[in-house]
Amino acid sequence: MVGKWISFYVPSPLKMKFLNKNNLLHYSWIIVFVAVVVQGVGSAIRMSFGVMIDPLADSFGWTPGEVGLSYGLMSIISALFSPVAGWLGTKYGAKKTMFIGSFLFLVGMIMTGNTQTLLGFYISYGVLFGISQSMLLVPIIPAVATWFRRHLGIATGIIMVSWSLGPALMIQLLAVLLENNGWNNTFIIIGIYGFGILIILLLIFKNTPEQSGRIPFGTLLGDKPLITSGERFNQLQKSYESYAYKTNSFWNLVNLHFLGCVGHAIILIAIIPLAISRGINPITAAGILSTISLVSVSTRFLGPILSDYFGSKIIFFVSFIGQGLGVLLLINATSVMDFYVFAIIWAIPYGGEGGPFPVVNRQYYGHMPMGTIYGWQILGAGIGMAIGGMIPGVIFDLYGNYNIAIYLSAIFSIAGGILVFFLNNTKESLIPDWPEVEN
Amino acid sequence: MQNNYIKIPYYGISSIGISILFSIIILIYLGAAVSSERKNNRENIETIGNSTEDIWWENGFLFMCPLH
Repeated sequence: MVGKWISFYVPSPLKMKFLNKNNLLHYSWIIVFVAVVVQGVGSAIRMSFGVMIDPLADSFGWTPGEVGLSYGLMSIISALFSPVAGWLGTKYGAKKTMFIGSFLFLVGMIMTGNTQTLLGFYISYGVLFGISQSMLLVPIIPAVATWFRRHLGIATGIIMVSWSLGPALMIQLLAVLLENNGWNNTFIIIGIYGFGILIILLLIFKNTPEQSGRIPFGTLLGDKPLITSGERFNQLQKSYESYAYKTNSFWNLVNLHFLGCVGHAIILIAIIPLAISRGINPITAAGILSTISLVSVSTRFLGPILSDYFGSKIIFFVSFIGQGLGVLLLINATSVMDFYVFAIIWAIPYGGEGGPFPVVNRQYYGHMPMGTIYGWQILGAGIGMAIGGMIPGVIFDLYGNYNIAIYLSAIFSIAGGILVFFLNNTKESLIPDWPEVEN
Repeated sequence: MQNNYIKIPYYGISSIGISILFSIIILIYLGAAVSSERKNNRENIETIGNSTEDIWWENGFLFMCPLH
């Protein structure tokens, strides 16, 4: 049985020759495309939430704070559920997990569109949509990793770009939908069309190359297939996860994601009101955030690729220190030029900070299923985004300016930069190699 | 290398503990500062004649923060 399996999946020299010449035809790029759209749609609806605040507040007489609390709730629920979503992705496959996530997305959006009470809004948007977010966004990154035996950095870079482009496109689309359909129908339309797109994409999505009779991208002639399913896979996964939990770097990476996200969440939330408070007009102030999104595309793409080739530690260090020191430009910024110079300089390290995580997981933990590990890292990131997002408003209410928030952002990011020194060398795996199929 | 898998990752857990502690300290300080301001505002209103009771989470933050 095993022999039959091996003979079917071991790449033939002819197949390898074909693949080496036709890398762009490899099915792994279809998987990357699915991940790009799923991540783009997911992150877009999260990050364009601000567009929804005023229409909801006007319709029900809720305060912006009460509406905004649902976003905080959604972020926390999504963060807390991330390790579970990662585990589900490894245990039952990313495809099944994302199917359930898509269904929750549909239910959450339709319920939100029909909500009449604040509690109902918190349950539909905060809880249901929050869980669906983690089930859609967490398992897909580890699933993409299984499609790349090598060169994972390129795939990750392409996916990370969607984090910037998705919101940029979605904000415009949401504005048009709100204008023409009202907020109720906008949520319902997004739910139905989003669900349709997700289901179509999931039909072409395959959990692992081996399960669909293909070989991972970057497979060389001497490579044997890796164990990706069955009872032995389940046993190995448990053992390898316990190995990973006993490495210092596992905890440091969760912490690193947390520190980085607090650092940039403060700035992303505060930058527009900060600019307005210093005399910049609202449209020009909004352009600062757009500039950050646009410029960060470059390092979102390059960060994982450079991490793959030069090691993730140096990329992390430069990004965290750059993000921490860069925010200090805001202390004395008063003119439009000051803010746009900040946007361009700061967006470069900010963009490079999150992308290397899937790559460093591969460097430390090899080809083990990294769903749960990545889920824990996203938990750190989510809590960091929630705390960082809350700080600027409180600081402004108390002190009438954002300076302390800016210093806190710098402290968290620079602490991340220092933490990088405590990470292990990325040139050596921290746990045994994930086993290949035995002959 | 095998020894690495039976060790407790003290450095990693400590680093995450420091981050959690630092974050909690900041949240308690900010929460207490907001609570203190809200109480002061209410006290000013009360002098005009409106009486309002303390809120549990404000008292909680003020109890936990030694600086407020």
